[in-house]
Amino acid sequence: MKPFLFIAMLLSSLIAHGQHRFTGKVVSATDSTALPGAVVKLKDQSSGVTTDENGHFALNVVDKNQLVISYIGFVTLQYSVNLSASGLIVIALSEDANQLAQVTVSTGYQKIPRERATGSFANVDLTLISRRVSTSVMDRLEDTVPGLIFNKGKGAAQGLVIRGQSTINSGTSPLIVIDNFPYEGDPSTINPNDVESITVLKDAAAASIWGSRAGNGVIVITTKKGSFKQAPKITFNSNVTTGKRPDLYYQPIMSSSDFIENEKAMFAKGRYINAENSYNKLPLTPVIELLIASRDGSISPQEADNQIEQLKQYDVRRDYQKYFYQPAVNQQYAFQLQGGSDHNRYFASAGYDHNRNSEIGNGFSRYTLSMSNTYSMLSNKLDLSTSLYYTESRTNQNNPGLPTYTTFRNSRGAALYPYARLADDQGNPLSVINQYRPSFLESTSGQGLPDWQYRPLEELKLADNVTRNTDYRVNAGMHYKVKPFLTAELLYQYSRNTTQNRNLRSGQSYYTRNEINQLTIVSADGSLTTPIPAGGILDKSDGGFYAQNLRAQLDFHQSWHQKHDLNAIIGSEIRDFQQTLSTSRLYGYDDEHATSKPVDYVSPFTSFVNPYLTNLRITNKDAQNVLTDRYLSYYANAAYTLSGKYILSASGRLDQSNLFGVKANQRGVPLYSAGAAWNLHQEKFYKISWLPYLKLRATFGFSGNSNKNVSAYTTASYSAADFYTRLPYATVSNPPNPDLRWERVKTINAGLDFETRNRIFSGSIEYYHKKGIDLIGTLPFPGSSGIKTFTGNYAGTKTSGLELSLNSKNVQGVFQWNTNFLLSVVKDRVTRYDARFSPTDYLTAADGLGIVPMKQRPLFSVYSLRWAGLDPANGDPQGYLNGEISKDYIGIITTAKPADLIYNGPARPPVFGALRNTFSWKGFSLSVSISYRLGYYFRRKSIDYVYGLNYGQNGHGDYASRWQKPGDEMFTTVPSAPLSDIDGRDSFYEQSEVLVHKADNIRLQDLNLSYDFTRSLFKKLPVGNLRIYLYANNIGILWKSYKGGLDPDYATSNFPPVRTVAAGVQISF
Amino acid sequence: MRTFFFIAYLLITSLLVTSCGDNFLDERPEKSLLVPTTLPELQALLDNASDVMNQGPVLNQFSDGDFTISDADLDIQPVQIRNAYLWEKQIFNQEPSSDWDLPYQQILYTNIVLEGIEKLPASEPEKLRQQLRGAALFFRAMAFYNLAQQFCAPFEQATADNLAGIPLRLTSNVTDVSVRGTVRQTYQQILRDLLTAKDLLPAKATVVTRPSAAAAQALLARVYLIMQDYNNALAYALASLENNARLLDYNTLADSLANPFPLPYISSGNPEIIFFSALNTSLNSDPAYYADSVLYDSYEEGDQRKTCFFTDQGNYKGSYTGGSFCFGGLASDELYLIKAETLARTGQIPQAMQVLNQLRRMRYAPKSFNPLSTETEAGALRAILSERRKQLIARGLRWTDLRRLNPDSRFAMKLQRTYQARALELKPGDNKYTFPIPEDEIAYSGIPQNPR
Repeated sequence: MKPFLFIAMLLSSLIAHGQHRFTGKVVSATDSTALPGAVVKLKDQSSGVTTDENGHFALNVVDKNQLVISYIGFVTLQYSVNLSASGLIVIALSEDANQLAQVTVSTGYQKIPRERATGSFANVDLTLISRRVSTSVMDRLEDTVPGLIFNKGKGAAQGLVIRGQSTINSGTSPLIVIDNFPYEGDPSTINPNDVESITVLKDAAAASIWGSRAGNGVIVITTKKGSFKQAPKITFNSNVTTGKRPDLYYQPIMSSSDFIENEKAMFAKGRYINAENSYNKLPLTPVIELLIASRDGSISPQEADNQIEQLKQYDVRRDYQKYFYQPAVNQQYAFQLQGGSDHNRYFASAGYDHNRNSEIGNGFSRYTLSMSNTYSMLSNKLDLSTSLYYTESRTNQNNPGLPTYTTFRNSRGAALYPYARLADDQGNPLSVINQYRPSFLESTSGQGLPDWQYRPLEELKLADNVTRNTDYRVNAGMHYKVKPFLTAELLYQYSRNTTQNRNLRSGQSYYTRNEINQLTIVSADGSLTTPIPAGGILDKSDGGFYAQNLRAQLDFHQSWHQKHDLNAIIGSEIRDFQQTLSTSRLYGYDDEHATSKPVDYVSPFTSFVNPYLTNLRITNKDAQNVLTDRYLSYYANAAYTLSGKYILSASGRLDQSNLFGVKANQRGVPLYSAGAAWNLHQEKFYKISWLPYLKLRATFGFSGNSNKNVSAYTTASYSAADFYTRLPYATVSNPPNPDLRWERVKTINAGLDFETRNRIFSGSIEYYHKKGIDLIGTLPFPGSSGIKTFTGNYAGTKTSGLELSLNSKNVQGVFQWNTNFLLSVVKDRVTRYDARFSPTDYLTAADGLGIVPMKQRPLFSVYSLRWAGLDPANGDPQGYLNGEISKDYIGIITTAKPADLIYNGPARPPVFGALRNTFSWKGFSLSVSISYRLGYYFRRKSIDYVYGLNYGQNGHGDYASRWQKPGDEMFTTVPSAPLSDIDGRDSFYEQSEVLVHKADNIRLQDLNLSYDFTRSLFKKLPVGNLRIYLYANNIGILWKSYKGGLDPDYATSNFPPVRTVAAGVQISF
Repeated sequence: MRTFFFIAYLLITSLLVTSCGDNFLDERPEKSLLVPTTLPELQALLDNASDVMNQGPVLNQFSDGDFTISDADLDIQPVQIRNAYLWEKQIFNQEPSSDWDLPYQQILYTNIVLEGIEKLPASEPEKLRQQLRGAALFFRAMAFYNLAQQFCAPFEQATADNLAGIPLRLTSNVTDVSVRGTVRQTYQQILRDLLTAKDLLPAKATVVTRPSAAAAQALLARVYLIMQDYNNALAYALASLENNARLLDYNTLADSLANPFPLPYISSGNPEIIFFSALNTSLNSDPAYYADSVLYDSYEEGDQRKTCFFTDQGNYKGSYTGGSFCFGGLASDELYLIKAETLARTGQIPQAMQVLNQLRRMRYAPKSFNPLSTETEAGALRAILSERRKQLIARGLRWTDLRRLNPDSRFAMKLQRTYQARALELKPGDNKYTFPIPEDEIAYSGIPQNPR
C-alpha cells in the first residue's frame, strides 16, 4: 500500500508540476469591506470559485497565472499571480461608477442582486424617478417600464395595468408595497421626493412571494434611508408648474344659431305642449318661452324674433372659460437631510405641495414629514431601524362643475343650452333655468317661499366642499445576524389613515333652497311649514383605515466549496386591515354655531311642485360600513447558484384569509413559482468578447387574486330603511356557491439580458404567457331560477406578450448622448365567459363603459355595425340586414349576433413604448421622451337627433356637416335631420363602423432640461451643487392615424390634458 | 446574547402562528354583508318591500281593455307595453321582463327563508318561527298566483290537467331545472301554501306590507273564485272579512286632490287595505292614458268613484297606493264583491244584493244612492260584475276576470281597439289571453313556450 501511495504522490506532483494553492481576500477599494460571493477564476478557464462571507478564496494556480476577479457593481479586475509574494493577498476591486442600472432589486421581502435573479424585475432608479415633475409618485412610472402602461380611454378600460389584465371582475390594480408592506391607501399621499427606487415585479418568480395579491403585478417602492459614513447632506428642491386653461372648444358642439333654429322647428311641431302642461313644471329654454309668449300674444312676433336673433350671438363656453376656469399652478417644495456615521444612517424630509387646479375653486395641498433611522450595533450583527411617515393633505372641490339642467323631456343633468348667459355685461350673476319653469318659480315667491332661482356664478362662490386626509405609517424592524449564514428579522408596521369629507351647502345655495322648497307645505291660511328647516345642509363622510402587519423571517446564505451558493428565506406574516366609513347629513345647519335641527325621516311628504308625488321623504344619508381583511400567511423562497453560472430558484406562499363564507379548507390557496437562469458569459466555451454579459432565464408559477364580493354561502346586504315601511331590509347578493375558488394567474416567462463591452449597448428581451384560471365571471341563468346571473369561477383569459428594453450609449466624452428604447407588445384574449350580452351591450359598452367580454376577443374591444352609406334620397343612414341594404334599424340592432358585428380591434393599445434620448454637455442635460401607442381603436361621438337634440340636450358639432341635399352623401357620413322620430336611427349611426377610428399615435410626451452648477466649474459656489431645471409635459402629438381634431386617447373627454411647463431649482449642501 | 435574541424570535413567530388561530380569520370582511342566519335577518329578507317582495306584474293592465291611449302617445311608450296594448304575438322583443323575473326572485327569497327557518337555533321562539314560515309561504303563493295570471292558461276544470302551468320552484338551489307542470298543479300548490300559511300567520299584521291570516284568507277567496269553487270562496271571504270588514266611505274623500286616497302604510291610512302590494306602472298619473269611454260612462251620476278615481279629463288617479303606482294587493272592497258574487252563484240572491248595496252605499253620494235589487241569478251577477269592473279598475284584476268569465256566454266580451286605422280585436278564449314566456327564459331553461 505505502509504496503505491508514494508513487501516486510523486506522479501527481509531477502532473501538477508548479501548482500551488493560492489564497487571497477580495475587498472593496472604497472602504475595504469584504466582498462575499465574488467570482475568482483563471482566465480562459470555465470554472472558478466564489469568495466566502469574509471575502476569502483559495485556488490552485501556477505562477504568472492571470486571475479574473469579478463582482457586481465593481470593475472586473485581472490579477497576475505572483507566488513569491507572502502574507495574505488582498485584492481590491474599485466600484463601477458607470453603472446605469442599480445592482439590486427589491421584492419587499429581500434584496436580490440582479445577477442572481431569475424573474422579471424592472428597476426604476432615482435619476429616472426624479426626471418628471409631478405631485404624485405613480405618474413618474409612465413610459419607464416595459409592460407597464397607464391606459387612457373609458371607464373600466382606464388605469394602470402591468402586462395586460388577467382578471375580469376582480380588482385590477397592481399591489403597491412601500417599505416592505402593502399599502392600501391613496398613492397621492406619498411624496415622490422621498422615493429612492421603485421595482416592478412582473412575472411569477418575482411576484408570487406576494401570493394572492400579486395577480396584477407588484410595485415595490423603497424610500430613502440615508447612507452609512456620509457627511450630513441637505437638499432643497422647489419647482412651479403652470398650465393654461383647458380648451373648452375641443369637443365640437352645435352652434347656438343651429340649436335655436332646431328649437323653433320643434316648437312648430308642437313638441313642447306636454312640457307646458307637465305636472313637474319642467323648465323651457328662453327661446321656447319667447315663442310661447309670441303665440299667446304677450309680446309681438317681431319682438320675439328680435330677441331670439339676439340670443344666437351668445356662446356659453365663453362664460365658462371666463368664470369657471383659470390657469393651473402647482408648487412643490421639498427639503431633505440625510447622512450617516459608522453605525447609523438617517434620513429626514419635509415636503409641501400646493396645487391650484384649472377649475376655479379646486385645489390640493399636502404636507409630508418623514424620519428614518437605522442603527447598527453589536459589531454590525444587529440592525435596528425605525421610520415614521406622516402626510396631511387637503383637497378643495369648490367648483361644482359646469351647470346642468333638466330638459323639457325630463332628461336630468343635461349641459346648459349653448346660448345661455351666466353673467350680464357688468359681470353680475344671471339666473338660468334648472329644474322648474321660471313662471312657476315667480309664482312661488308670491306665496312667501324663499328665492328659487339658480345662479351658477353665485353657486361657484357658495360651494364649500373639502376633503382632509391624514395618513401615517410607523415602521420598526430588527435584523439580527444569528450566525454568519443566518439572519433573523422581525418587521412591524402600523399604518393609519383618516379621510374626512365635509360638503356644506349653505342656506343660500340653490341645492338647499330647492330641497327646502320642494317639500314646503302650504296650509289653508297660506302659512308655510318646511319639513326641511332653514339653514344649510351639511354632508359629512368619515372614513379611514388602520392596518397592522407583523412579519418574522429567517434569511439564510451559505456557500460551499466556493462553488455552491444557497440563498433562502422563510417566514410568516400576519395582517389585520380594517376600514370604516360612515356618512351623515345635518339639516338646518348653522356653520357659525355648529348647530343643526332635527328632521322627520319617517313621514312621507307631498311635492310642492307635483301633487302626484306623494311618497317623498327627506333624504337620509346616515350610513356606516366596516370592512375587515385578515391574512395569515407563510412563505419561503430559495435560490441556488452553481459556480456563479447556473441559478435555480423556487418560491411558495400559503395565504389564508377571512374570505367570507368559504369553508375553512378553501380559505387558503398555495401559490408557488420555479425559475432557472444561466449566466452564459461565465461559461468556458463562451468566446463572444464583444458581449461580456449574456444571461438567459425562464420562470413558471402561479399568483392569485382575491375578490371579497363573492362567497360560497348565500350572502345578502343589509340596508337601513325600506322606502315604504322604513323597516330594515336585506337584499340577496348571491345565492350559495359551494364550489367557489380563488382566482389564479399562471405565468411563464422567458428572458434574455445582455451587455456589450463597456455597456455601450445593453438591454433585455422577454416573452411571457399568462393564463387567468378560475376567474370570477357570471353565468346567465333563466329568470325562473330567481336570479338572472350567477357569479362563480366561470371565466378565463389568456395574455401573451413581448417586451424589449434597449439602452445605448451613443456618444461618450464631453458631449454624451444616451438612448433608451422600450417596446411592449401585449395580446390578450378572453378564453371563457359564458354570460351572453345583447348586441347593444357589445356595441356601446365593450370598449370600457362596462365589462362586456366576448370569447376569443380582447377584454376591451371596439365593435360596430356595417355601414352602407347614406340614402341619396333623404340622407338616412343605411346598414345591412341579412346581407341586404336596410333601414330597419331596430331589426339590425336586435337581430345581430356577436358573429355579425364587426370587430374593429382592441380598445387598449397592444403595442406601446417609449424612446428616450438624453444629451449632456458640460453642465447641461436634456432628456426628451417620445411615447407611442399602436394598434388600437376608439369610437367618437356624433349627433344624436332623437334622444339627444330633440330631448333638449346639446347637439354635436357634426350637425354642421349633416346631409342636407341629394349629392351630399358623396362627402359626408353625418345623417340628415330626420323628419320624424325614427326609433333606432341614431343608435344605428352611433354604433356603426363609420364613427370608429384607429387610435394609433406617437407623442412628444415630455422634456427635461437642466443645468448643474458644480464647485468644479464655479469655485465660489456656496453650495455643493445647484441645479436649475425646466420640465415640459404633454407637449404634443407628433403623429396620429386619425386625421380629425380629437386626441385619440381623449376622444370622449371634455378636453385633453393641457400642456404644462415647470421650472425648478435643486440645491444641495 | 445571540441565543437570547434567537429564542425571542422563535417565541414571537410561534405567537404569530398560534395565538390568533381560528377566530382571527372568522371576522366578516364587510359588516353589512351577511349570511342570513338569525330570525331578524330572515325577516329582513321578506321586509324588502319596495325593491322585491311587494310588487306584481303590470303588462296585463295594458291588454285588459280598461284603458285607451292615442296612437301618437302609444308610439312613444316602451316597446313591451306597446306590444301588450296591441295584443301582438311577440310581446317581449327578446328583452327580459320583470313580470316574469320579479316573481321568481320573490320565490327565491321565500325559499331561502323557508330553508333558513329549518336551520334556526332552538333558542328562537317557536311562535315567531311559525309566523315567519307563514309569511314566506304567503309570499310564495302570491308570486305563483301572479305568474299564473299572465303566463299560463286560465283555470278551467276541463283543461286544467292538460295545459301547462308555470315552473314551481320549491328550493333555493338555483341550478335546479325548471319544469312546467299542469295548470291544476300550479293552483294546487298555491292553495297548499295558503292553507298552511293561514294557520301560522297572526290575524292582523302590524305593518301593512307583511302578510296576515286575513290576507291569506283573502287571497284564498280570490283563488277559489277563479277555480269556480264558490263555496270555499265564500267561506274564506267571510273569514277574512271577520278580521277586517271596514269600508272607506268615498264621500269623505277630497276628490279634488291629485290622489284622494290616503297613504296605506301610515297608521291613519286606508282601512280597506289588508295587504299592500304595488304594481309599478304609473298608469294612474300619466295623462296619456284614458279610461275606456264605455267604462267611464258607466259610472253613474252621484257615483263618487267618478271623481275620486278620475281627473276631469278621464285620466285615472285614484290608486289605493296613495301615490303614483297602481295597487296590486288585497283590500276589503274586493272581498265584499267576492262575497256578493259567491252568494249569488250559490242561490242566495237577496243576501248577495244586500252585500252589494253595502258596498255601493260607501261609493255613492247619499242622495244619489238607490239600492239595487233583482230576482234572478243572471240579473244579480250582471249587477255585481258591473260593480266589480267599476270598483276594481287598475288593480291588475280585470285580466283575470276576463279569463274566468269569457267561457260563460252570458258574460263573454270581445275587446276591440283601433291603431293606425287598423281594427284589432281580442276574442274570448283567444290564445293571446296567455302571454308568451319571455324569450330569454326559454333560451336558458328550455321550457316549452305558450301557443299564441
